[in-house]
Amino acid sequence: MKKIFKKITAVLFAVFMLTTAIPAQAEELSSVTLPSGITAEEFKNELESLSRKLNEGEPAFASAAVGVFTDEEVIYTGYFGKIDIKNNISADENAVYEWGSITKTLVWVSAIQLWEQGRLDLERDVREYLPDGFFRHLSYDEPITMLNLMNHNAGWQETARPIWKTDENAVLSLGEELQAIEPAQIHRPGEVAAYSNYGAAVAGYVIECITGQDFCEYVRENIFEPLGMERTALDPTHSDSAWVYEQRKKTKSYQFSMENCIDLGNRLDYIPAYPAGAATGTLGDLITYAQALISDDAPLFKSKETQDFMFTGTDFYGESDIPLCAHGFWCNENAVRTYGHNGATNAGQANMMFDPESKTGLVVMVNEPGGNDFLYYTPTLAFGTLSPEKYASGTYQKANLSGYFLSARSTYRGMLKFIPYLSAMSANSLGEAYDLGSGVYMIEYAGERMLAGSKIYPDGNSGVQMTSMDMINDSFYLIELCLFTLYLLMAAAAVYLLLIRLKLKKHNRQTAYDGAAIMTAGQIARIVSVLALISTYVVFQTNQAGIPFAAGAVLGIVQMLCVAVCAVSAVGSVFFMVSKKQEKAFNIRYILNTVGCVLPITAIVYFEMYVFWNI
Amino acid sequence: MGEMRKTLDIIKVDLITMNGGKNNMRMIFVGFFIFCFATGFVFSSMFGIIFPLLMGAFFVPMLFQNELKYHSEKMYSVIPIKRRDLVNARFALAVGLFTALFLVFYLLMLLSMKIKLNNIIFGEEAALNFDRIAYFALLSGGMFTELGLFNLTYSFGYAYGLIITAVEFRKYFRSSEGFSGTLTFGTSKEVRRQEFTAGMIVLGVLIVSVLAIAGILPIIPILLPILATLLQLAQVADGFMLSAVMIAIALFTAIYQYICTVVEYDEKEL
Repeated sequence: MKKIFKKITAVLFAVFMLTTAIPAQAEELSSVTLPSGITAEEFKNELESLSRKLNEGEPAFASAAVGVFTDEEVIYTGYFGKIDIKNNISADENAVYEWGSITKTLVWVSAIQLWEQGRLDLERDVREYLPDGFFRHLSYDEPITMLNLMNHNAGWQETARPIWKTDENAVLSLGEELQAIEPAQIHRPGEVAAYSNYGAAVAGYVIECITGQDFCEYVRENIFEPLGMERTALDPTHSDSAWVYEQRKKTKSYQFSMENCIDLGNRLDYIPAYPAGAATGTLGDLITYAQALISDDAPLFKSKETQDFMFTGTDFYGESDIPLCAHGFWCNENAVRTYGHNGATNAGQANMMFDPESKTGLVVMVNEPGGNDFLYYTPTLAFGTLSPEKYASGTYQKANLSGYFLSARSTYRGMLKFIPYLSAMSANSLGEAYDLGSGVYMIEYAGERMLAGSKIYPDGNSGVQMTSMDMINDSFYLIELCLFTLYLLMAAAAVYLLLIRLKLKKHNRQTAYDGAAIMTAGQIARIVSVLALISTYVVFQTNQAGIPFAAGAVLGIVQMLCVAVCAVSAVGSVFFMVSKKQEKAFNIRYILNTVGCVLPITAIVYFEMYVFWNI
Repeated sequence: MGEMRKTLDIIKVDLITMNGGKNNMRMIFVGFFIFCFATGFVFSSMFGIIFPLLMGAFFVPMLFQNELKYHSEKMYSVIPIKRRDLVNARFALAVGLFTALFLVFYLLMLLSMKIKLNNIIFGEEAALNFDRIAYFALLSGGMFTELGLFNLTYSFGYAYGLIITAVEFRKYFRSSEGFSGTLTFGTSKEVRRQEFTAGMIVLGVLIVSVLAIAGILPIIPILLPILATLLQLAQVADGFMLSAVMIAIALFTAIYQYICTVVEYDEKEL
């Protein structure tokens, strides 16, 4: 009975919001002041001016849908550009965009709903809710709680298996998919934050296991329907909304590069781990959802206290009480503290931010996977910029950050282990860091300001907490990079040595010596190993950022063979050098070959280029 | 020890030949050095990069211009030295002199970058218009230091110059007549084979380009790990690591060219 009453209230609330939204648009925008201090009228003018600027000459953006709202009314909605440039279809209230990772907030809201009903304990091991033996690659016995999943610190590395599918029929059930893409657990739960699509999708599956309903069905019954969100789909194939299914086909995706507009087509890619990012819908529906999250009526919960609880911090910057994450919602420090989530898919990007204090929010959706200026420009326009004086007691000075930092959100186990080393950042390139005290940094980069936190891990290593992931200081980075470089150089040297050998052979100048054949084999193995590494990257890039098991197995076995051949070549060289009396020049050859083979073996083993399982 | 002596003697003879008579190339070279030095100090240390880039192409012709003019290379076919010794000595002279000159120029330009004469002459803001090292360092947002960009630029110049020097060196020993500038389409089997190989390479590059443009060959994923590695190497330790890689590749190429020169010159009929 109570449930029915709750549903009726929520529907009435949604109807109220929908009916009040339209007249509110017509209200005097100049009378509404946004948290940044500008009026809604100025906000609108800025966006129109941006649109005009980007449309000068050849358009420099595809489309954007922007909405500003309070808990009670939609202050402004603006649709700019086209969702299909070729067929001249403009963006409007019927245009559907992909939410991307904003979808994860549906998981977090669902989890808090179940917590409110006493059906889910946020601090209990999620394995107690999941089928027995669900995880097969865990490295630690410590419990993985729902809070770990919300804070993205369950310890999983970025999954190395493709999470996107291009074939609608290849979409597995959520449970099957999660078992197929389970990544290695590389950190103890709670220690390192590394944004995890896998972790969020597991949380969605926990909801399924508790409720006995598909996650999609649960969300429809407990979030979409109560709020009247009829123009949003959650199923990975959008089959839960016929209208969205048809409408989505009209939205094309674009990439703007060096003044060229590249038509990417519909980009109808499917994410079977759908709680991580499959929701798709209109701007109006996303506004409705965001309004519900800041409403004092708390239509998605039994009580307002639950909603307030959802926006209490669960992870903090340094030792401060400034929240970085609140039950899965990211906290951003602008002129005011905002909560929300952004999202990116192969088809577009979106952002949802709101300030529960002033009850003002912003939603932006675009059909460009690389984003566009509407997405980047509007948060500051609506919520202002960070003011360090709010956090620093007295004066603050430059932080003493040094060394090289690796993103925790990457692959540290298996054949893709080399990837994070190719995107390490020096302390300088993180931006100008200022110490605000209590382990909080303010980082200035390209005119933008953001907070970061200092972190010391149990192993004594240090790191910087950024939104959604830690950047871990790697004291051995230069040595590791040297090893990787020498691995590549040894292959380059092998190419030259083989060319020299061919030249000498052609001119009948080759001198026979013991071990010549195994040295040549070692050189070929070095070249093959580097080609296999490049192939690994090509497979990774061309398979939706993942390595299919079969391709991984072939490349891994090739690397194993290369290690074996290099090992035989190195041992053989040592044998011929020690056992046979040779001229000094030959000994130098043997020594160089041994070094030339040992270095690649070290690199292949260290960077786990042969490990194709449990990645 | 005797080998070393012989090498030094050949170098001495070469230096005498190089300095004897009128050497236009040398004058051009000196003039060029002064020009690069002046622009490098007044405008930007980046301008100095032109010196090692062009030095690579001019260096071997400059060293042996007099020999070509007076055909003094015939002398080596009658005096008792091994052909290999001649190649060794001249390779050491070319690479050694190129490296020494480059180092002098590098240090001078490093001094130019440190004292920033351009800032004094034009003012800091105006100088940024042509001081591209400072400009790009600023633009990279801390990714590259000025010294890092300087080192990368000059080590690229050195690597490129060294490779060109070694290639020209081999070309000179293979055919000094052909080297003197007369482009002839040979009819010999060897020349035809080379022309065929060059044609095949051009065709190969064309096919790869077409496949890449058509999206059949995933050229970007192939290039990405290589570019990412180069970018990382460029960032660390003031560009030292990428500089080391570039120089190592140049040395590999130079050694390969040297071995080819020894083998080919040994078989050449003088």
